[in-house]
Amino acid sequence: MMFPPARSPHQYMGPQLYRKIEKGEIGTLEALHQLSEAHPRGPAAQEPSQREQAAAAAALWELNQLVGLSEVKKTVEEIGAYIEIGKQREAHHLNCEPLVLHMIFSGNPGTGKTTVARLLGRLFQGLGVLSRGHLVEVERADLVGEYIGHTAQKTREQVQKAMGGMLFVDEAYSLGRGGAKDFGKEAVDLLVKAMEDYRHDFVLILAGYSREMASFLKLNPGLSSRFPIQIAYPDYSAAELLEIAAMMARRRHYSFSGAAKAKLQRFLSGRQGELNFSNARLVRNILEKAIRRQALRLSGREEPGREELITLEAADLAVERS
Amino acid sequence: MNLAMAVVGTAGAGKTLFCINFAEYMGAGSLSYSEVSGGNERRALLSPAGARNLMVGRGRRGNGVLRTFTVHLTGPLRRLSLIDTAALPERDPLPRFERSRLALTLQAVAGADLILLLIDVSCADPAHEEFNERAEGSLAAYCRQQGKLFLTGGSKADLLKRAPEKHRRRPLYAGANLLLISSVTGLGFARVRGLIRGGAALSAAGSSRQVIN
Ligand SMILES: Nc1nc2c(ncn2[C@@H]2O[C@H](COP(=O)(O)OP(=O)(O)O)[C@@H](O)[C@H]2O)c(=O)[nH]1
Ligand SMILES: [Mg+2]
Repeated sequence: MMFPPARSPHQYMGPQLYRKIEKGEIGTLEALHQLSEAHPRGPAAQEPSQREQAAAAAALWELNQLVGLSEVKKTVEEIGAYIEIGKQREAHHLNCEPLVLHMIFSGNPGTGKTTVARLLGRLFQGLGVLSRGHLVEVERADLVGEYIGHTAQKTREQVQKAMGGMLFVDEAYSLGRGGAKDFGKEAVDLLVKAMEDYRHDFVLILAGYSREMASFLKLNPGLSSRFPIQIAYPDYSAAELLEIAAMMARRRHYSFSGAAKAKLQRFLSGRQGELNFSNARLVRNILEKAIRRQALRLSGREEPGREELITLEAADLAVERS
Repeated sequence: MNLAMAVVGTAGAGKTLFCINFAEYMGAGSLSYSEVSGGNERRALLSPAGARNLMVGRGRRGNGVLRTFTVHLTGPLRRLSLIDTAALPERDPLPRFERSRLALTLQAVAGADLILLLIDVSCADPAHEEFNERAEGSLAAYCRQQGKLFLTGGSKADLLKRAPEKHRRRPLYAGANLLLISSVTGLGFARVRGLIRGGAALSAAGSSRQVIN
């Protein structure tokens, strides 16, 4: 159906307007007027158009293009299938569990959490689950305030910004540090309330290191059960990181020489399993540095050829172990 | 492609009869419909005559609910959902029981591609007319901003004693004409169908939708 009636009204017209009507603060004419004044949210057809379905397919395709992440891909496929089947069940008048898509992502930095979250937003929008599908990335400092009342204001602001899409709280475990008096606790409570109130058009993702997230969840009993989707992001293997590096380079119209690849491989294998090993982010930094070093190396040449302009040599890689 | 049309208007404007008769006109032999109220949804199938008996008129069952009739079609427009909304309550402040109805109606408006506002042209109460004009202004502005098709229909045109031309000239919103409709005689149905098909063609072509009338 074009218009799934089982959804809550504020998904379509904004919670404030809905609240004013429910409180009897405004009548029909004022409500209609405010509706016309509200921010444009684009065509509101609930059933995804062909264009949106194509966007969902593209997001899924891009996800599958990502190196590694096999567990993540499987989970996302399950979510997609669940949404699709839910629609078909609805068409057959079968009971559907309400879709709750709040998630916990645990893993080291640079393991693909943000990238996956962005793609999920696009996927959910394409499937008609989220109206906008954008990603708002925040961390503790964006949510937690300095004085009483400040946290509520800051957190609500971010939730509002993420409405229709996803709120991605990086290093979410840091909300749990500082004990009971800390304002972080208040932010957590507000987020929990938001995920209940707006669950029809808002997805909350808490992300952070596996160990820290686990103890954060242990300290906040009842929190874990509100996140039906929990995905662990393992560190990339050296081979996967090498593949990522090659892909990143290709996108920028560069490529590694054979010697450069071997050097990078040696370096990455050596650092595997190290604490604070920052995965894909590390690879990107190495690549960006290599690009700058190559430029410096070539700037002394007369007229470097196309091949030279593309190739990153072993000497460009600043990966000597310190 | 699928289109949803929300039919809105004050109580007794003729929303329900329009939905049933227009669905029948579009070729629906039996009406599959769903009703939402108080967070519950029920679905059923009825003949058009049965639906008229059950649902049309004041005090009828389901006047406070949101009801969707689904018509399956052939051609590029595969499915048309006609949403028979709860009436737009004229009382201000809103009595408690009408608040969630208004919310439901606005929800339907927000979820639809096409909005048909029905105004009973056989009723000449000035207060009522002013209400309709203001509602129409906001709805038209909202639809323009959201890229939805908007259409105002003067319902119960068969009851008009004066020449229909007079009503057709009535400058309601920004010079828009009133499309005269009678669910009893079928006056205006062909034009509504044409506009819906035109709207379907427009959105299929990817061009931005617009206010029509
Ligand atoms: N003569 C005439 N009566 C109509 C027409 N449309 C609706 N009515 C009558 O107006 C009354 C209210 O109609 P209904 O569809 O229930 O209005 P709703 O409350 O807006 O859904 C009923 O008695 C209908 O029979 C019409 O086009 N012509
Ligand atoms: Mg009715």
